[in-house]
Amino acid sequence: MEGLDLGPVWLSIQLATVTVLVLLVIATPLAWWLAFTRTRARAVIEAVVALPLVLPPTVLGFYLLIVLGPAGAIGRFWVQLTDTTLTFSFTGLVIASVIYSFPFAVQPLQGAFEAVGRAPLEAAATLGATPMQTFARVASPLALRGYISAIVLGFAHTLGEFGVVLMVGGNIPGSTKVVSIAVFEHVETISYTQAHILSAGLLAFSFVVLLAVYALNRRIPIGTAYV
Amino acid sequence: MSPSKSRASRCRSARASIFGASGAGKTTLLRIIAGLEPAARGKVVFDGQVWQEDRDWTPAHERSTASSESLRTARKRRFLPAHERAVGFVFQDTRLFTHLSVEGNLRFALRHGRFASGFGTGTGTGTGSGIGMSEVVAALELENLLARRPASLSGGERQRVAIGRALLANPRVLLMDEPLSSLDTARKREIVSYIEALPARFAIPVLYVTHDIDEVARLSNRMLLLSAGRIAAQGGVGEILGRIDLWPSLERLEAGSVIEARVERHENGMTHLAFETGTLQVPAVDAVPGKALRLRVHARDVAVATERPRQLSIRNILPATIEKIDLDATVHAELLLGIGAQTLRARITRNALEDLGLAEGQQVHALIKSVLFEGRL
Repeated sequence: MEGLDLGPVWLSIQLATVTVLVLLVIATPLAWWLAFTRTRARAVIEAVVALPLVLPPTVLGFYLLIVLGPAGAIGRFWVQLTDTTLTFSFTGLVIASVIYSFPFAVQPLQGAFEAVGRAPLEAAATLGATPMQTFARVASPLALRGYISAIVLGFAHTLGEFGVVLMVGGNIPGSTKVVSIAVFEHVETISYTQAHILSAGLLAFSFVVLLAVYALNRRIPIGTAYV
Repeated sequence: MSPSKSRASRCRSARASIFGASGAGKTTLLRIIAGLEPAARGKVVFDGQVWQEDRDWTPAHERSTASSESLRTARKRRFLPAHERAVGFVFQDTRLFTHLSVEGNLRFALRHGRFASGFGTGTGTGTGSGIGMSEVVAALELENLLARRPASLSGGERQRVAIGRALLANPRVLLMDEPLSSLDTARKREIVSYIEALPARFAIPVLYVTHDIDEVARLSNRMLLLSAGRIAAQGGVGEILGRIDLWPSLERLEAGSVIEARVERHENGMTHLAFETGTLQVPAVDAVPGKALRLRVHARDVAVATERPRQLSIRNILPATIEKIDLDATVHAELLLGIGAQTLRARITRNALEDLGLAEGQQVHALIKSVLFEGRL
């Protein structure tokens, strides 16, 4: 039996970690806005955010390939800026993963902010807290469960992506060859042992993560944001 | 509904109530004052400081330099956000933060609370008196609650914490939105005594929203009567409640009047209250002789006799003058009775009115069946 290459595992973890961090930065303000806005545009934005849930990863990956490729709007700009292509690079994978996992971060956060509601925010304002202080010291702690869901689901979903990575990232060891791609490659080359090890590892990890989320959700009460 | 037209900020007395039926706009008015209704139009001025204003105005720097055609009038809007207004807000549903302990809730206010600021003419600084933690904890008896979680408190305890939290933000006016409405009678009584003591103890004016006339009489000396989003009347509590033309606005509420009396003496478990024209006996009131009390008498508990009755269980009979008879009511007639300088409302049937041949200006005897409310002055 040849030595197992753990490179794809570390790459997957790196990709998922960076993706989650980017997701939190982008998804939090959007989820906040969706939770509290009263404009009709809200439904449109919600639909767009949910698209990655229903689109086949190949369709999403195809469009990303077009846009991020050297001939695409963003891709060309990136080439001018860095002299490297965005497609088939780690950065390109991060962008693709953020888009692919976007609803998994936005939806739990939006739900949590809606559960918090305006009432405690108004109370904080009348006590002299600025909107940022209110967000940091009232809304975020009360929406903790939403954050945990967003982090865990965003992380796990990124680990599990395959189609988008294949379209946008290809199969470059150390750069775009993540676990799911490695498994595919092992199966193609009939290296079932390696495929088994990686697959079982991913299966166990995913189960543990989801178990942790559901167990935690029971422990953190969020039904009432105030009494 | 446009409560924003109200000049409620003019109520400067220490205790004022905003009163009206459900849906009259009481809570909305309070929220506008606090800056919680950014979409509301109108002007809010507190103690000379403009908190909110939208009207045509020309910026000062253009006014001084400009020739007439370059004088630009713009639709400008000034809105001081809620967190910069020096108000304390006690919500009907308390809105304590569940992720913090009681002490954490109080410290939140202490940490973020501010002195007053505002646009324009105001001084921009508060009194600097600084309401302290220990003072609030003592006044509202919160010592034993500090370590508790809000979710584990009773309704009355929550409301006490909410009041304490609002005070610790160091507001210049305390806005209370029906803080008693979710409590049962026993709890109400408990909280009322705390609220009653606030203006004097913390030197802070209280603006109190309620649809309960007894709370108005007990907790305020001035009132604003709201009806369908507009001010129906404002003034002293006794004066407003005695005004016959306002009765339709008060219709859904128990009609009655507020009168003042002085404690004369206590005897056989009864307290004797002195009026200009006589004495009332009521079950013992906890007040020293000489103390002025405010009484509330429901109109249906006042009867009228043309001669001083004898052989009657009702002991409280005061000579009175019929000042006004209002026949608008259905089978009833509403009488406004003058007792010295004060007025008492009575509700009798129109049949009784005709049988007795009552007329305005006539001397009668007011039979007071019960005095339902007492408040200290």
